[in-house]
This record gives sequence, structure tokens and C-alpha cells, in this order.
Amino acid sequence: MDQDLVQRAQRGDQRAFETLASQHYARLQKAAIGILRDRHVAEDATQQALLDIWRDIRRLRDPARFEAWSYRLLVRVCYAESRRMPRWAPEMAMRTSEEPLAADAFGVVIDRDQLERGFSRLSVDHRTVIVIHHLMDMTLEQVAETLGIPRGTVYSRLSRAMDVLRAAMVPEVPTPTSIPAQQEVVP
Amino acid sequence: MTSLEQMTPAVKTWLKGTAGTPYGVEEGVRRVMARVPQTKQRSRWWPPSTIQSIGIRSHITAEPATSSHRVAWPARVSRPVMARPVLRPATAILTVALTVTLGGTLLVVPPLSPDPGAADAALPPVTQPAGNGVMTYARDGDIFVGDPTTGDETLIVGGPDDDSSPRFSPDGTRIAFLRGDPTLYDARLVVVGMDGSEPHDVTPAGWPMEFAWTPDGSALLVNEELAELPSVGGVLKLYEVAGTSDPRTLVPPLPFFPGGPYFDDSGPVAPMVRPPDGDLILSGDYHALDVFSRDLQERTTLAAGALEPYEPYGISWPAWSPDGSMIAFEVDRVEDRNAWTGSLGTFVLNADGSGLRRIGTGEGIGASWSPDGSRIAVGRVRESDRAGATLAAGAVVVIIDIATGAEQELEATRVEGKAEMGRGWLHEGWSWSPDGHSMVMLERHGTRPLVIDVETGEASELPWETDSLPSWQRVTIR
Repeated sequence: MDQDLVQRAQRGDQRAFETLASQHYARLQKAAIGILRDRHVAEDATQQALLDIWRDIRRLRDPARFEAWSYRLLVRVCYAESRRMPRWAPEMAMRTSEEPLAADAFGVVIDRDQLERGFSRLSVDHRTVIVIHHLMDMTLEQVAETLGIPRGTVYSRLSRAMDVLRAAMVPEVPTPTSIPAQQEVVP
Repeated sequence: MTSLEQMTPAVKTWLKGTAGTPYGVEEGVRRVMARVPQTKQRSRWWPPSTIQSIGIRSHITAEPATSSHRVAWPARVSRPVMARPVLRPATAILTVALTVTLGGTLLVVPPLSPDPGAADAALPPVTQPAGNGVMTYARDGDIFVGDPTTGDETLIVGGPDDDSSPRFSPDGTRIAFLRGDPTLYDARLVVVGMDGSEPHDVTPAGWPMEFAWTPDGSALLVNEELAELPSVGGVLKLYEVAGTSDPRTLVPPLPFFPGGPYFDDSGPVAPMVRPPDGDLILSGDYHALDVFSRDLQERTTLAAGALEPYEPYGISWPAWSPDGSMIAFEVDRVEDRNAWTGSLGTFVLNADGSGLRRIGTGEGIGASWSPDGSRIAVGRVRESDRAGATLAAGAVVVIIDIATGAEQELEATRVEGKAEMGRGWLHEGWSWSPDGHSMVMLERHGTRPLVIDVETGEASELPWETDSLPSWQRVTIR
């Protein structure tokens, strides 16, 4: 990543920003698709995130942190976008294959639809951790640094998210008893 | 059961398979760059340049903030012309002509905002329309109050903090807003007087996803995401504004499926609490319209039988009417509990579950009741031709008369197609004026909100760019 481009964009150089946007568009789009599960909404989110990046780039103190910072802005946009999406609106086009996953490696048929359904139950922050870690291939430490959250939070979110995905693989729906007692009603 | 070891590579493979290869990069960048010239860059620090852009009505000096890094304009007033202490802060804004020093120039700042309690008449209860006062909104991380009749605006909360989403209290005397970055679990809700005075934190640092004043103005209802909470949804909490008691968890995270609670990640909470005293709270999953008592000790499912003919259906956007006698909500056809396949329209029913009926002829997102309870405003999205999705190929705000079902499209709110990036007004929303004669709508943050006369359909653009839908102050009817 060319820090000079970032610095020039911080000075208001639109051409530098255009180059920067071109270099990072695909990366951001990929993450947005992973989080939002809807290519069209993800496209909007990517573009809005880039506009937010342009608007706020002067506030980025360390140009070397541009990539992590841009993810953070993208996640914020994804969060806003997700608020407007009906929670049961899936991206049908995401289902690119009807073939089961991982059947050969583990002898277990993991259905794409079930995964998609399980993923749709996750909040954006849980999805984000999964996407940044598993799709963008960052270590958990890098995820924590990128999102600016404690490592423990990354671990707990990932663990919880994987639990939810795993629960989606079985027919029974988890019950409220999974909620910790201290989170029940506090009159 | 599938083990975690089996899940991890499967999830990786699935994610990478569905994310696909990049597409439309060139066109996407072109669209972004087409908007860049209209998108102002934010300043690096809290700077003199920000001050300059506020204009001559700024009440602040150009120095960086005080030790608390906050600027509330009364603290920066060098010498008030009239004594203020005997007046409430709101009254002070109305009645005091302020003399301030800005960049060495002595400016006389005229009064800006009406005082909700200035007239002898009492402020109408939240169950009834009120007069239209000033508006509060965010821009570039600061909080402003603007007078839509004169176009004047006042910065009430400046400084380096990232402040957003201000909302007037029901009595119009205070403003609550979000401070900080929620995505870092480092945001809190702050309440100030309408002049920015007496700021205090109402919530601890965290992620308040949505919030609303309770109808009596004593508390903030917060839909909160908790970092330490192993849930996949939000938790609804009640924070006393005075901070005299611990927050109460009204609705814990509900089972995440089927449907999950309405107030999952970021659902609006304002329409969920019944006016005027918040005795009932709407909840339930997408397939049930549940009403909880405030202490959650009682739960009633409304209209389950009456909705059966619409199976498979899904409920969303429920909202109490201003007097708490009715609930409006959207019903969608939901195949397999996972696929939106079309709208069945907007429905209303009485608070006791009786009188279910469909009103309107099409989709209605985000039902918002008029202050007198006679109409609701909904967003109607024209579906794209993609099956199973709800992207807007066009959208408009529609007003539906509750009694007759008559519909009125507000043409000024129409957004056509996706040639323009994003989904238009869905980004920021719309709301009624306190008197119910107008609506204010923000199509996109950083643009100028529209005020639309509901009777004539005529729209006018407010003079300020805002990053949030303006919140309109309720005042006495004059």
C-alpha cells in the first residue's frame, strides 16, 4: 500500500484518492459481500465506505494504518446497511453451488443453505469477525487490531458465531435457556 | 453434531466460494469519484477551519476545547447582554441577545430558538400534536440546533468528539446524542440542555445501537449490543436520565431464531414502547406480535389466529400509535422462514389484539404515525427484478389514512432507480413534524434535509447539510 497515496489524499488530491480507491475496492467489496450476504447492498456499502474514507481520511493519523482503518469504516457502513435489510432477505445469488461442503474431508455434509441461514442469524459484529478472519485470512490478533477491539472480544465473538453456525447444522432451534441467567430480566 | 473442527474449513470454503471474484470495480470507483467533489473532507483536528464554516452565528471561539474538550456555547459567551441565571437555558436562548467575540469581531447573536414552555399554554402531551420548534442534527461530529423558519443554526456541542444522532426530549428542553465510536464499544449517550449546557453521560461506554426517549422524558430506552454478552442480538435497557438508579434490562436477548426479536442488531426502539407512560413493550419474533408488560412479567401474543390466513408471513416494523390504542406493522410473505417473497402490506390492530385489518395497497417500511394518530407514513420500495431481494429500484414515502385506507404518495420523497449510489432515503429516514402538517426527510447523510408539506406535497430544502435526520422540537401550540 502506497502511503504516499494516502498522504496525498489527505491533502485533498482526488487523483491520488481515485488510485487508492481502485486499489482497495475489490478488497472492501469482498469483505462487504461476506458481511452483508447481498452483492448489490455490498456494492452500495463499498462505495459508501470509500466516500466515508474520502471524507474522513484527514483524521487518519498514521497512513500505514490505512488498510485496517478502511475496514473499520466499511464495517460501520455495513452495520448501517444491515439495519435497512429485512432480516430474512437473503441473497439468492450467493448460493453459487448446490454441492455440499467439506463432505469429503470430514464425512459430514454441511449444507450451504444451512450455513447461509445460520450466518443470517449473526449480528454484524459477529459476521465481521468471521469474515475478516476466515475470508480475509487475518489472524485473530490482526482482526483485533483491525477492528480496534480486545483480543478477548474477538475470541468470544468468533466462538459464539461458530456456535451459532454449528447450531444451524442441526434441526433443533436453540432455546432461551442458552441465555446466561444474569442476562435475564432485571426488574 | 458437526464439530468446530469440521465447521472451520467449511465456513472458510463457503465464504470464499460465495464472495466470488471482484466485479464492477471500474464502475464502482467511477461512481465514488463522481461524488467526491461534493463530499467535503473532514478536518484533521478540531480546527479553526471548522469554526469558520459554521458561519457568523457561531457562539464559540477558535481555541481548542477546554480540559474536557467540549464546547457548549454559553461557556464561550464573553458577556451576555442580559442576565441569564433566572431563566432556564432554553428560555435564555429565546430571550437573550448574546454578544460574543469571534476572531476579534464583536457579533451580536440574535435569539434562535423558541422555548417549548415560553407561552402560557401547556405543552401538549405526547399523545397529541404540538407546535413545531427548532431542529437538532449532527454534522461533522458536532451537534447543532437550527431554526427551520429562519435558517439560523447554532453549534451547541463542538469539540473533537464524534457526536451524532441528536434527539429532542419529548418536552423539547433537552437533547440526547451519541458520542464516540460504537463499533469500538466506545460510545455513550450524552444528554445536554438544548443550548448544550450541563452535559452528562447517561450510559457507560459501549455500543448503544438505537435509542429513544421514553414518552415521559425521564429515561432513555437503549437497544444495546454488549461486547461481553454472548448473544446475537441487542438487549433493551432503560437508563434513567438523572442517573439515579442502575439501568434496567427490560428485554433480554431473545432466541435468535426463528426471526429473532424485532430489536435485534439495530432495530428502532421508539415505536416499541407504548405512549404515554411506556407500560407496554412490543416484542416477539418475526412471526408473533407480542406485548410485554414493562417488567416482563406478563406477555400477550396478539392476533396470532387472525394472521393465520396470511401464512407464511413475517412481521416487521411494529409501532404504537401516539395514544397507545393501536399498533401498525408490516406483514411480508416469508417462504421457508428465510426468504422474503413479497409484501402483504401494512396492517393495524387495536392494542387488545382485536380489529386486525389491512390498510394500504403495498409494502410499508418503517410505519410512522402522525402525531394525531390519523395517518401513518411508510416507505414503499419498488422491488427490483431480482427474486427474493428487496433492493430499491425506486422508493417513495406514502401516507396512509387509517380510517379510509386512502394513500398519498409524497412525490418529493421519490428516489428513482439505483443509478444513484445507495438506497436513497432508506439511509436516514423521515419523520413527522410535531404539528403533523409536515415531514422532514434526509435522503443521505451530508445532504440538506427536505421539509415536505403533507397537505400540498410541496418540498423545501433546509439550508444546512446534516449527517442525521433532524429531530424536531415539540413546543406549545401558538
